[in-house]
Amino acid sequence: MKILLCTDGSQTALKSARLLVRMRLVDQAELTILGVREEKTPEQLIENSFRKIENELGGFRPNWHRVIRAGSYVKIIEVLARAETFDLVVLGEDKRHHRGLWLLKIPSPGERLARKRLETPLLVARDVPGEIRKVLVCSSAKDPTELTLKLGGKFIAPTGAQVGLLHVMSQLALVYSPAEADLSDTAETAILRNTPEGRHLLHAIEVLQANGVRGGIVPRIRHGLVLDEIIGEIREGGYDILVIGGHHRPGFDPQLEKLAEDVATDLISEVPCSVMVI
Amino acid sequence: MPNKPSSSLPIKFSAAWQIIYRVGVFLVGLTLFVIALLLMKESAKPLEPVIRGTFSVNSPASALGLGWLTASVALSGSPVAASALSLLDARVLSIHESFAMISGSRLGASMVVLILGFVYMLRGKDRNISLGVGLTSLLVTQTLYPFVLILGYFLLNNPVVYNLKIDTAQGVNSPVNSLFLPLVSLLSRHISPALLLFLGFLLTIFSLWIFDRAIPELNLKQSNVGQISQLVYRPFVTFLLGALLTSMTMSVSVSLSLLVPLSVRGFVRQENIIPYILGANITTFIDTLIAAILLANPSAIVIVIVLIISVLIASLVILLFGYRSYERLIRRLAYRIGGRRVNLVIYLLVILGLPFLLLWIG
Repeated sequence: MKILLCTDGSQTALKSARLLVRMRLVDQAELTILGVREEKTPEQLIENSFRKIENELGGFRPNWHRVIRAGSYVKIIEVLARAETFDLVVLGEDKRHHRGLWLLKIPSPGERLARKRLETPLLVARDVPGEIRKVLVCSSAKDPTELTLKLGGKFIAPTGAQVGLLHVMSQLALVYSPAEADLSDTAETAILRNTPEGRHLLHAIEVLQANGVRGGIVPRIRHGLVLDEIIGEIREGGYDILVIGGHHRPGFDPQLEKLAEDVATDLISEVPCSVMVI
Repeated sequence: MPNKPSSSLPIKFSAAWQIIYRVGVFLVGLTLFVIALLLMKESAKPLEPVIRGTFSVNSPASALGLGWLTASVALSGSPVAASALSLLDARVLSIHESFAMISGSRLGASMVVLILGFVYMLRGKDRNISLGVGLTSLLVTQTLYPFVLILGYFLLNNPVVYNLKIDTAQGVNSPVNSLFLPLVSLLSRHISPALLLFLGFLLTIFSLWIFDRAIPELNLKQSNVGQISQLVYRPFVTFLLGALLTSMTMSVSVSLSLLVPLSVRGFVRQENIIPYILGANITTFIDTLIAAILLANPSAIVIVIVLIISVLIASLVILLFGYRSYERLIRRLAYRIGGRRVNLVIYLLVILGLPFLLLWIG
C-alpha cells in the first residue's frame, strides 16, 4: 500500500501519523512523507516535522521516502497525488466548526483537497484517540457506494473496530402509496421487510466482511437531512473515524459529478472526528 | 394529489402532428384565457362597491387576504392572480392592492397539497408522510413571502420603477382584446356583473387546464437530474430545475407532480425539494405575466415583473447566505406541525383564519 503523508511543518501533521499507527496501516505501507514549504516556512521546520513524524511512526524505514516541495500546500499535494499512484493521502488538521454565513467560511486544507476530487482516497486526521473503537461508514445506496465499502472496508479492517453502517433517508413521499411505510423504517424493520434500503444494508455488510471487517457491523437508518443525520450519528455514537464516498472516481458520470452536492466535503468541516473520503 | 397534466395523446401521432396538436391546444387555451380576462375586467367596475364594501377590500392588507382566501377556496393561485390584474385594469384595485392580492394568491395556492394531505391524514395515514410535501411547499412559500412583500413594496415605490407605470394604460388596447371585446360586451349586456365575474373566473381555471394539456412529455428519468429521489443535488441545480419545469407547467403543484415518475416509490429527497420549490415559486408567475401582457396594461406588467424579481432576490439571498439553516428550519417546522394532529389542526386554523383577519383589519 502506497501512502502519501503530508506535512506543512505544523503540529497537526503529527495527527496523521498517529492515526496511521492507530489504524495499523504503517507496517504494510510504503510511505512517502511530503513536506510542503509555503512562502515563509523555513526548511528547518519541515525537517523537524519529518523527524517527529518518523518518531511517531516508530522510526524511519528503508522503503519510505522524504519529499520536500515549495509552494501552496494543497496544490502541491494535489499535483503529487495525481502524478503518482497512491492508495491513500493523509493530512492532519485541527477540528473546525463552521456554522456561519456561507461566504465567510474559510475552507481547511482537507476541505480544499476534498474539492479537488482526487481519485485517491483522502484521510483527514483530527483528534486521534488512543484506540480506534468505532468507525462509521456512510452508504448512499447508489453505485459509488460499492467502491466506498470495498476500499473503506480494507482500510478499517486492521483496526478491528466496531463498524456502524449508516444510511440516511431524507426522502419525502410525493404520492400516497404503500411504499410510504419505508420512510419510517429502522434498519431492522427495513431488513425484515426486504425494502430496497434493507437489501442494500445486507449487501453492504457482506461487502465489508468480504474486505476484511471482522468487528461487529451495526446497520443504522436515520431519517432527516443527510448532513445533519450523519453529524448527529457521529456525536451520539462517539465514532472515531467517518468513512464516506465522494462523487469522483473512474466510471462515474462527470456531468453528474458537477450536479451532485459534495456532502463529503461539507462533513469535513462539520464533524469532530477524522474523515476518510473514498 | 395535484392535477397531473395528461399530455399523452389519444392515438399515436407523428412528431410533426404532435407539435401541431400541442400548439393548437395552447392557442385554444390562450383564446379562452383572453376571453376570461376580459369577462372579469368588464364585470369588475360595476362590482367595485361590493368589493370595497361587502368584502372590505380597502387596503393592500385586505387585498392580500382576499387573494389568499380566494386561492385557498379555488385551490389554485393563477386564476386569482389573473383576477387581480383584471381588477387593476378596471381600476377597482390600486397597484399596491393588486400586488398584494397576487402575493396572497401564492399563499393560498400552496394549500392544495396540504388540504389533500389533511384529508388523507383523517383517513388514518401517518401524518408526517402524507403531509410532507404539502407542508414543505406551504412553509417555503410562507417563509419567503414576508420578504417578497417588503421587497416588492420597496421596488414599487422606487421612483425608477414608479415612472414605468403609465396611468394612461386604459387608453391602450391590444389587437387581441379588440378582437374579443364585442363578444364580451354582448355577454355583459345579458349577464349580471357578479355572474360574469364568476364565469370569467371559471373560464380562467378551464383555460389553464387546457394549457396543461399542451405541456410536452418530459423524460427526466434519462437526464442527469433523474436521480432526484436518491442523490443529493446542489441546491442551485434543483432550484434551476424547479424554475425551468414550472416555466412550462406554470403551476408549482403540477411541476412537483412531474417528479413522481423519477422514483418507483414516488419519493424525493428533502434537500432537493426545498430549492426546487424556491425555483418553482419564481416561474409560476409566467401565466400571470401573460395575463398582464394580454391586458396590455404596463402597470400590470410592472407589478408581475416586480413580484418575479422580488421572489428571485429573496430566493437567492436564502440560497447564498443561509441555505443550510433555512433547510433545517423548514424541516423542523414541517416535523413539528405535522408530527401531532393538534399542531396540524392549530396550524390549519391559523392559515385559514389569517386571510379573514387581514380582510377584517384592512
